[in-house]
Amino acid sequence: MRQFEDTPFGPDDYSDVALLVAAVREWPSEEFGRELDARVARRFVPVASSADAKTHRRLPRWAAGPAALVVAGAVAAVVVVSGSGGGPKPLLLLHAANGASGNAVLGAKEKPVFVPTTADGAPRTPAHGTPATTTGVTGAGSAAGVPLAASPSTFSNATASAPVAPGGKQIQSAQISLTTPNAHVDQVAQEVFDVVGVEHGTVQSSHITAATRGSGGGAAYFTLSFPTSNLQAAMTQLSRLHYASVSSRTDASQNVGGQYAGDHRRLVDAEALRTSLLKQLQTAYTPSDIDSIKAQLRLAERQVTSWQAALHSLQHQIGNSDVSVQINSGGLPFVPVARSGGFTIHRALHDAGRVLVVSAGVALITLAVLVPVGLLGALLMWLWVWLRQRRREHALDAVQ
Amino acid sequence: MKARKRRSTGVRSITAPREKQDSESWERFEVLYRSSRDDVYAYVLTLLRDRAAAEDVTAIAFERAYRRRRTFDRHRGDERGWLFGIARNAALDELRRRRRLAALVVDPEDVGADEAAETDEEDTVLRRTMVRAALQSLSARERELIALKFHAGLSNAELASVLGVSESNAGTLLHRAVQKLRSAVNAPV
Repeated sequence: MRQFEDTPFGPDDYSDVALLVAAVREWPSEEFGRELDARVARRFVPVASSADAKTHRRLPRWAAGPAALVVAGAVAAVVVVSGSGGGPKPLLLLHAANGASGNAVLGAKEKPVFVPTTADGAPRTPAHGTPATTTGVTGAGSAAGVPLAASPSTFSNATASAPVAPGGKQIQSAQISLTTPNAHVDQVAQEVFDVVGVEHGTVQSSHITAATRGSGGGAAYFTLSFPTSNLQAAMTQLSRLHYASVSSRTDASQNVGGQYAGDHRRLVDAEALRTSLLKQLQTAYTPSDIDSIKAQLRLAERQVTSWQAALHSLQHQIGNSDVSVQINSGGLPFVPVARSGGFTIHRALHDAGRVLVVSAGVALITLAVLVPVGLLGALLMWLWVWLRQRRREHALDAVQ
Repeated sequence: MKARKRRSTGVRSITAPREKQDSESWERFEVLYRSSRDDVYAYVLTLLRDRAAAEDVTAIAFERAYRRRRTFDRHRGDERGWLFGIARNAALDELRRRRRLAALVVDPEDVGADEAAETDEEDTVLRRTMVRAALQSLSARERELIALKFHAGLSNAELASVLGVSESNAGTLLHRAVQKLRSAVNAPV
């Protein structure tokens, strides 16, 4: 290095440059130094607005984490309540025990019972001559009927079907929709057949589609008929199948007392007419009278037969109730529990397991929301920092 | 007779560490401020070349450092390097702001007015003028390197930390800037 030949400094010794730079170094003015010292001494608190700074304190940093968790929990709760998980929707139910009612959430194996209520919540008795229908629909309590969840111990005391007026002629029918995991459709269908056998019913039609992995869930549809005296017991058993939970249930009853009485009266009249015609036939002498009475007698016989058939059909409808059963697949698998009432270790463990499963589900949904949002936020933050630094460097490059 | 359990009376020990930490962090900051106030000002002035703006940015840098003093991680570098990083960002923000206002405001460039010219020796004044001219011939990044090295007294590792480059790269850049300054100073006028 020729230029350092006449100086005591080598190329890697910056003492000469340090001396040069020190010679032109700028120092802050005394006034600025005093002012900054004062600001540092009062720890950068503005003199005038020190009181304001205390009153307008921002949210403390430690609150950011819990606040974020609360927001995430709220989002997860919204997701869960909106039922986007694909499983059966939760029921909004009233818990009924011996007539007392209160709000409760239906568990997976608790079976809803539907009784009609009036707008003020009191039980409603259907008026004669009008059809009474009680409907339980998932996620809604309609004015026609509010679903009630009965514990196993109180279920037998609850009225499963629409109330029947004592001595009245009622045609009753019911529909029940069950939800079961894909793997248990066949078992649930077999349980339905078992109920039919136990309650002396008949299967009028059935349609069972087996579940396959490729096509998704299976389904089953039944049209059953039970003796009306066994209807409540049959519906109770159908609501308590081991591998299915009730997603909706409809009980309907139609008062046909007037129709039955009318048909019966007409039958009695037809029979009386026939008896009268028979008496007239005994006393008739002329062939024309005999022929005329015989013709009337045939007509009366047909009327008697017709009214007898109608009455028999009505009696059959009254004595037997149609039940439609629909089995849909879907939902999480669950373990069947014993039906005995009261506290048992098994039930307690089952409940604890359910709580853990639900908690894990909520945590999973929370994570599913938080992780992408966090990653996106981190990416945006990194991008913002990178862009800001790049702009700063550009500003330095632009200086002459 | 049962011995009654007494409540712990060492409640003050729960709050004492926080107060102690505050006190310690404040003391460290105060020491850092006393030792580097003038250096930060000189560095910022080298970047901005405007006394008023340099004073403002210096104050902003110390205020930011005070607010963030608890976020300082000693494992990631020295306090001076951390402080000069904050000052650099504040100065670059000021440069960006001035770029936006460039159409309205003329760059003051009031550095270099030798107020003591009349009283100083003629040679000294000449020497300072020459060095200032040499510094002006450097690019902004080279001036910044010179300022960080000789005004702030940072090591190459601290330089690298402030500039966001590797230590060897910082050394190379510094060496080039110094060589360029030497050449400019020794160049015939």
